[in-house]
Amino acid sequence: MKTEHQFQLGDKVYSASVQRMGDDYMVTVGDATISVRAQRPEHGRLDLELGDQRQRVYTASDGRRRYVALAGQTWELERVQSQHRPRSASSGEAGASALEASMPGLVLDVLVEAGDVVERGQTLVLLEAMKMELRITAPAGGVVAKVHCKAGDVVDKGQVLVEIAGGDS
Amino acid sequence: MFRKILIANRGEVAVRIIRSCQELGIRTVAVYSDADDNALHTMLADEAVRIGPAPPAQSYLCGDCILEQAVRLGCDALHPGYGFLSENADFAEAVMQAGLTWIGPDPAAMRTMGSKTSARTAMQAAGVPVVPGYQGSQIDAELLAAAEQLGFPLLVKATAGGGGKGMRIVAEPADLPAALASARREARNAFGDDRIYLEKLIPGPRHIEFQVFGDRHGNAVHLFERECSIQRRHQKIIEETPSPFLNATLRRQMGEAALAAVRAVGYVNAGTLEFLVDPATRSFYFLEMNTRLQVEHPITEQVTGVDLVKLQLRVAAGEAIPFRQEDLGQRRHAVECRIYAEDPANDFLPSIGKVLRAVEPVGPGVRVDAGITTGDEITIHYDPMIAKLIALGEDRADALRKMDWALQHYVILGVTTNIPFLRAVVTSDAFRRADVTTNFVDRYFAGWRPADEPPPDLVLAAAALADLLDSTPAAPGFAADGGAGQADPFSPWRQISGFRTGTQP
Repeated sequence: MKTEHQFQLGDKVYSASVQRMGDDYMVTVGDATISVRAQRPEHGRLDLELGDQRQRVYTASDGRRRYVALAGQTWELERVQSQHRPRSASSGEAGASALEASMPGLVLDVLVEAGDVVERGQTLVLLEAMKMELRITAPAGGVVAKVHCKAGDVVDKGQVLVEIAGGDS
Repeated sequence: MFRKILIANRGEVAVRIIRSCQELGIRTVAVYSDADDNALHTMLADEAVRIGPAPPAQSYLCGDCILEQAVRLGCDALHPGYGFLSENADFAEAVMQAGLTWIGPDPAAMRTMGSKTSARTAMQAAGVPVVPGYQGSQIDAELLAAAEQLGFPLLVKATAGGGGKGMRIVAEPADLPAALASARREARNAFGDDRIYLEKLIPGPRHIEFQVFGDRHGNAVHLFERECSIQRRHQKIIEETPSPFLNATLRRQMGEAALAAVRAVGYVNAGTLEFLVDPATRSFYFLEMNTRLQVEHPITEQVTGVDLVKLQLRVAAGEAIPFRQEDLGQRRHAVECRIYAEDPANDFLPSIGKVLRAVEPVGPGVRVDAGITTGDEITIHYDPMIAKLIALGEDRADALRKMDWALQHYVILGVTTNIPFLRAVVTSDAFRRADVTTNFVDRYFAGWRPADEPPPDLVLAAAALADLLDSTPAAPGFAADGGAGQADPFSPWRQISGFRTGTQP
């Protein structure tokens, strides 16, 4: 049986298929097909044999993410489900720009309210993580359409904090 | 020697101290916040006790909470590690008043060296060169007059300062009043103390520090220097010893100055004298003293063969330092890289998450001081430094090769780290040439990002194979997660109770 796998890195999607042939696997990536012998002596470790070349690989998985450490480098890939379209930058309401947390952290202070007129570069939210303070500033002037966080909230990277409407954005 | 020590810290330094205590047969108590319930340091200590919720102010900085536990559990000494309460003289005093030994210097010496201006005064009196500066008055007009005499560019610094807070670079006299105002405002907010002083700016300095030790029998030694010039955002990221910049004469002069400082304040236990060195004139100036164990202490241990934590314990217990200055030397070359949970592709901002897999490099001359292992959670609450990698080589070039090897073989999956950046620095020409000053990163690595390359076919093949094999049930007899115990609901391995093998309950 042949299985199909798709992974996304950045905005590109890569495909690989695997077919078991006895002790070996035929793996196709792009136009190339290689025969690999694979051992999994413990969870999260793959010992690969490609002809005379051997490679120890550490792998881990976390929800949609697939991690691979190979030859001194670490790769964080995202699994793409078959009908899933590649993730693209999400946008809020038309004409509104959504400001996201650029790191996970604790909201120290929210300096604006819905309806406030803000200038480009104005600090909207103060975030803190691991002893580091980060100012989330307005990328352009406009009116605060919605505030999605309050002081004391713990937010994830990428979570929308404030939406700014109109203006010169 | 002590019977039982409470370690008022977390992460890699707590682990480091526990190891030395275990070697000496001393029982250890770890403390933890709610965010660290399953952290490595809690697993390695003999006892682990909760001290409060995740925010440091309510846990690792809560001296009363920690001391209460130390007394309750019958500890006879407390080790503060570095950071958190380690330089808090009031806490040190409280520990001693509770009848425990404080593993560190006397509170009086901590106070003298804790204020930047009183430390400068004490060092000047001891004949240690300090950066030319002015700390006479807080009145703007007098500061301006003093600034004209010092010359520009200069630095406005907060008396209570640290971490670059309340610090301003001033290029010309006209900019001084505004810089004074904003530095005072920042210092008041950060430290509750708006006093400031002026210092001449040393352009492109090297940051070289000396490890010192004093005991209660009047002995003082230094354990040579550490070059800590590679910094990012005022934080050290790579340290090495010996410093490629010092020659025997300068090393001797700085070592003597460091010893003069120790004697001047009657310093006991481990401390570090930080100096700025002007590469152009080869002049050195006292910058500050850290009255505690330093993050980068392992490189000193590697080249001198002295276990600094054990020495701290011995000296705190009243023993004399068991060697003299002339017994000490620097053998070979040691480098340390600090592994941070941060994302080089996202402006080096902190990254968090679960460490899904950690595999530490093992080999000749490679040492790992890690605070995390597989399964540990890295949260937003604490310092992003999760581990230190230390390489000891025959010489500098050998140590750098070993470090590159060790960085390549340190696998951390699940949390993004600065390992690719450290590799780029360690293998760069500028670093190999030892062309390092405190602005090294800005000069050679400004805007650095990891290469945006497509994954090699083998990475994709491995990812696909891992997906396939992870979804395939393991063959009979193959020990997957949980192993044989899973089939038997009555197996003792399924119970998390007081059951132990081989030890007294």
